[in-house]
Amino acid sequence: MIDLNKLNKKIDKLFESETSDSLTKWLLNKRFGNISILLGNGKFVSMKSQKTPLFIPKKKVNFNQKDDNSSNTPPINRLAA
Amino acid sequence: MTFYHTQENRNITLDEPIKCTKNNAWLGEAYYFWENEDDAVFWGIKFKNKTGKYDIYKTEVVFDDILDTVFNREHYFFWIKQIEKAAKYFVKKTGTKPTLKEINDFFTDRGIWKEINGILFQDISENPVHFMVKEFQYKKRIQLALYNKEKIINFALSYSG
Repeated sequence: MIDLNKLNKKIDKLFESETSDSLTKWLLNKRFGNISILLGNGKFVSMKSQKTPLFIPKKKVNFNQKDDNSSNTPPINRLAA
Repeated sequence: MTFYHTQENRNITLDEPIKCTKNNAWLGEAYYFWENEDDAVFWGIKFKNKTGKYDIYKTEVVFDDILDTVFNREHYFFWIKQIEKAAKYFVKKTGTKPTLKEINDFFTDRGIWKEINGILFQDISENPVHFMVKEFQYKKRIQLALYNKEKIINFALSYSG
């Protein structure tokens, strides 16, 4: 017969003894093999994407704006000309 | 108790069940059995069909020290408590949610499941044969994840489909 109280205490004790590093290491190894050798120890970090000012064009592009070559001629014919 | 084990037919008759190590194995790495033969057959038709044929093995399992989350109320609430406790610890200490398999594998790796021989678990079947009444699936699909192979007796091929 399973002693549920004993098992409950054993599980409580287990988690009390586990550190953030030991649990993360175990989980990483479980999911990706022995990857902690490459990555080192640490927590999972949820990354937020952020816009960098370096690549944001100051002037907004207006795709509806007609260019200087605009005419009734289809673009393909204009190129040929 | 009688249980059923489904495998692809590879022209070899197994002497013992194959341990499931797949990532979607709910209860971790274990020997998986069906309580009902029709679930075993449905699994064979639906998922063990790569070779075009499947085998159903029938076995007796000594039902000692099995955490019975299906029919035993006390075991069920114990099980829920431990899974939720583990999930909370994992989130708090690692920043990510574990899967059910990971929790069970963790308990196995840390020697917790040494105290038990397996877990009886249930979900709802997708087998249309089970849908005999309108709007509600009343029938449980019951599986046994057995960690201790020594509890298996009289494992034998029962049926090839």
